[in-house]
Amino acid sequence: MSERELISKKELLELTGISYGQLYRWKRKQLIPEEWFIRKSTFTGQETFFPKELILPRIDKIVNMKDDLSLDELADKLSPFLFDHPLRKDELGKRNIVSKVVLDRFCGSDPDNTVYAFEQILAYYAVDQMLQSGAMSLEEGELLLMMLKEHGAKFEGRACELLFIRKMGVPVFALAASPSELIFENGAKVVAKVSLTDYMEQLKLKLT
Amino acid sequence: MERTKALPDLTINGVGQASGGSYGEVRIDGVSRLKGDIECEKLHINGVVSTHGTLKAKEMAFDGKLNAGELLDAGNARMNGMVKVKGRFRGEAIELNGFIDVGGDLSAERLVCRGALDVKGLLNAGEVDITAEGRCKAREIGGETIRTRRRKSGAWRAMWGWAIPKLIAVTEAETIEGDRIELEYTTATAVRGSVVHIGKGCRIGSVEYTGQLVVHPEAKVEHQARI
Repeated sequence: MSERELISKKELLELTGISYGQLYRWKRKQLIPEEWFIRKSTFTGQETFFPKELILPRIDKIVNMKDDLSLDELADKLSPFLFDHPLRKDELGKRNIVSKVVLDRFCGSDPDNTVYAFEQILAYYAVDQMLQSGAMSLEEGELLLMMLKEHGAKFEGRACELLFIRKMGVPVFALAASPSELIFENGAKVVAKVSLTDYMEQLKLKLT
Repeated sequence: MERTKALPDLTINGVGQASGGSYGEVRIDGVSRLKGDIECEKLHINGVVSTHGTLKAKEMAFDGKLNAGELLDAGNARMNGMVKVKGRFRGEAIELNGFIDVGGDLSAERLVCRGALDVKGLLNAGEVDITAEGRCKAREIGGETIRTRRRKSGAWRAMWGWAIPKLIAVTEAETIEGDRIELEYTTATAVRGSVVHIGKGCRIGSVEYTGQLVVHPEAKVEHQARI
């Protein structure tokens, strides 16, 4: 895993044009997760850094949405906690949240009016996204679905990454708390590494 | 959270203990120990209370000595006396008088503090108003409006301060960052903000400001830069 690019607090404020007060307020409201505040010592003393590829889109999102929504509503959408938004199966297909292929293959036997909880929708959504990226086959999707059903709940409220590794053609799925650093042996290939928290956010935006 | 039926109340008079739960109103007079996680609407405490898990209240009035564990969520609170929190301390509008010691971060929308303060983590509040009567220390202070002052000290106070350093009324922090900052008798490595007033008795390493900076002649600022 490569070293993540960091941005200092000062650079961030200059780049985005927000003030210290806003940044602290958003932190208080948990719009910016605690783990993104990385303290490092520099020659001028302790400074706070952020992972650049995570914080910039997040600030963008907050700045764009804060006119329409209150900060508390925003926090609900962005927090890593699961929220309660069950949806019917036919709705999932109709609103293009999960593709028909996935629905037919993995829950073909459920009647159209089955109501899925958010966690289940998230699992289907993750499988769908992975399939669409072309990295994974349908059979492997089944493995992923099983793992998410069994272990997905263990990461509730925490940032979490989904890893898809293949060695000699054998697929392995893993869930890891992020940020974590993992090193694999040479023969293993990391096919995909996605943030489940990102999927969760995308899904929340699609659902509401 | 929707309440379907009224939650029970908890009253402890004298010496007692309680395990956790959800309550409507909790009233404690005397000495007690709360063993589990407690969540309540209103919390009144007079006396000595120690908790181990989390303590959450929407409204809190407290006089005495409190030893809290992992998390203290005080909501709207008025607290007098000694408060010690091992973990995080969170609230909406908090008014603190006395000695406060927080192991983690302290965050609130509005924090008015009078007395001595020791925050090992970040003190984060929309409005921070500190009146130092003893040493007020935080690793970082961040917020929209930050104001620190010192209470007028007399000759006796100066003597006590000489004997017990904790009683010297100053504010100390590594960094202070906010939009409007007004400091008095404060020591900090770095102060960053848009409108910054450095008052009497301050010793600041570097000030970075975007709008306006006013430095009192009796304050010491080593570097200042407009960015």
